[in-house]
Amino acid sequence: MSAEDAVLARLQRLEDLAEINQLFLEYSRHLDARDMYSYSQLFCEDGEWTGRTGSAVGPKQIQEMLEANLSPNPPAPGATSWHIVANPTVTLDGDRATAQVAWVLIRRGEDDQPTVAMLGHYDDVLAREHGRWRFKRRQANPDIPHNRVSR
Amino acid sequence: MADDSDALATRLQRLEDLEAIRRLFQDYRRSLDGKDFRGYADLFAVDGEFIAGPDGSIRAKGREAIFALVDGMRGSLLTEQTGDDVHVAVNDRIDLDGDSASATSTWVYVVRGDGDVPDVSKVGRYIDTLTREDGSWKFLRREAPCDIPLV
Repeated sequence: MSAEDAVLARLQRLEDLAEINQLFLEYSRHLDARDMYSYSQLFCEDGEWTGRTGSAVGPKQIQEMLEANLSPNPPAPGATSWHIVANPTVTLDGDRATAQVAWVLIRRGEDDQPTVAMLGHYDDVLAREHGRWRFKRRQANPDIPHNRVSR
Repeated sequence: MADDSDALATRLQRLEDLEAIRRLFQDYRRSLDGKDFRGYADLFAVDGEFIAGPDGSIRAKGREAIFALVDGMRGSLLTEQTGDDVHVAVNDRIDLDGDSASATSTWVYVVRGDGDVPDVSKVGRYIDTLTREDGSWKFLRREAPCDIPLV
């Protein structure tokens, strides 16, 4: 590998990490907005979402499954769901990657108070598809509490 | 031209160092929450130091001493069971200076509360001095004061 190629490879690695971290944030933003179409477009053509809410393969199927099973996020008097994305670890391997990232779900509780409703982590397989990083598989694992449906 | 490529390599190295240090913070959290206390201790420099508690009363220097200290927290300052506590590590601020760096960040300690609900148990800061040792970034000093509760 020439010196220039080596520099380009290092740059590509940093760009890949930045794009994948951005993907995590877009996911959270579309989820909290209950924009399940935009959310579904973050998955590969054969991408899979699996969790307590259900499982589906392919963007259209993921959108339909979550629209059917996910609790709504009523717009008034304000949003009710905030997924805080934290603790990302991404391991790159060419056009594939694996990652683990945590979510903290904050909800509007009784008396309009913020409550930490749930804490969990995603186990991800990512793939570069048509030049963009997408979820090949996202598994949502609720950690606390264990015994409720992930919403 | 040689100057240009040197300058480019220096800029890349800076971004790679920042990324490696952020990864170190996540490896720290992950080994701690995974109760992998050997792996945790290995994230410190050979003469690395960990300091916590009121007035820095909890401290250890060197990997063996750090291992023993953290291993002894199981069932007291840390939960007995893996999965019953999670550190959320956010707000990284890192200043690089060659093979050294200083950083501050925020930790939120969440435990499984009564009724299997998330309980925000503590909030604090990390105040770090980092060093590049044998090509890897390590904690030379990590201080973890708790801000809530104060006592």
